[in-house]
Amino acid sequence: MESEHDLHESLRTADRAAAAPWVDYPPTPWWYFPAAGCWFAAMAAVVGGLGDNHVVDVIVLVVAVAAYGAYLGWYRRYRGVMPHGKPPREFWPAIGWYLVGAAASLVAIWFTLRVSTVLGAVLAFVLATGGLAIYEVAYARAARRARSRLG
Amino acid sequence: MTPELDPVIHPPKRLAAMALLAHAASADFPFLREQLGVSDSDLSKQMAELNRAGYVDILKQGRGRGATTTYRITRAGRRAYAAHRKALEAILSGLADADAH
Repeated sequence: MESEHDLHESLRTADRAAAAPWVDYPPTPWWYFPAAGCWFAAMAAVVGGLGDNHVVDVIVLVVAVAAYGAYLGWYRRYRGVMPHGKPPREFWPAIGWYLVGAAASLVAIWFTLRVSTVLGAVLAFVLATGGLAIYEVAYARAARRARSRLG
Repeated sequence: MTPELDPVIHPPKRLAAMALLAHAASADFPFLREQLGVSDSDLSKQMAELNRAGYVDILKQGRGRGATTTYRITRAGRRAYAAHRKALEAILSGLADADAH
């Protein structure tokens, strides 16, 4: 029969391992933020209508989707794991603010695109690059707090 | 009734592997090895046990130096891990109640 201490240790082992996909990750490369900004700018430009020629829209869309697929494949190999399901509680505020920021950015970009496609694309670049950089800092802080709680 | 612990999942290395995979879409061999702090051969052995029980799928891609091995928890594995964890918590809560009396 195992001791109470062993069973507590089992539970702690499970908690630490469950958090690992969220808290143990390699450094995000510097180019990720401007690259993501360019991606969102391209998408905004397509939504705003790049011009009269829809062939350009389709080409940009196909390239953007392919780039996204390639990035996801690379990132999965780079990180070695893709977190899934409910994150540790330390991440909830960061993820909540991320969703609020993303929704507010989409609304702002949408209204700007009605005025000017170029302006909308520039705004998308700035908001995505800056927003993701801020989220990265908040995520790292949450990961540190979770690591420290789980020991 | 005493809750049952799953003997396949209960050893610490396999418990950690199942807990990790239950919170990941998939995990690569090097990531799991580092998290569990085990050797290549030990990880292969532990994961083979979980695979035999139907709790984990093993996906191998490529050959030679570029080959990768990825693990993914199965639906049965997810259920078994959830039941095991629930049993662990129930036993500990039972022990805490017994201590209180």
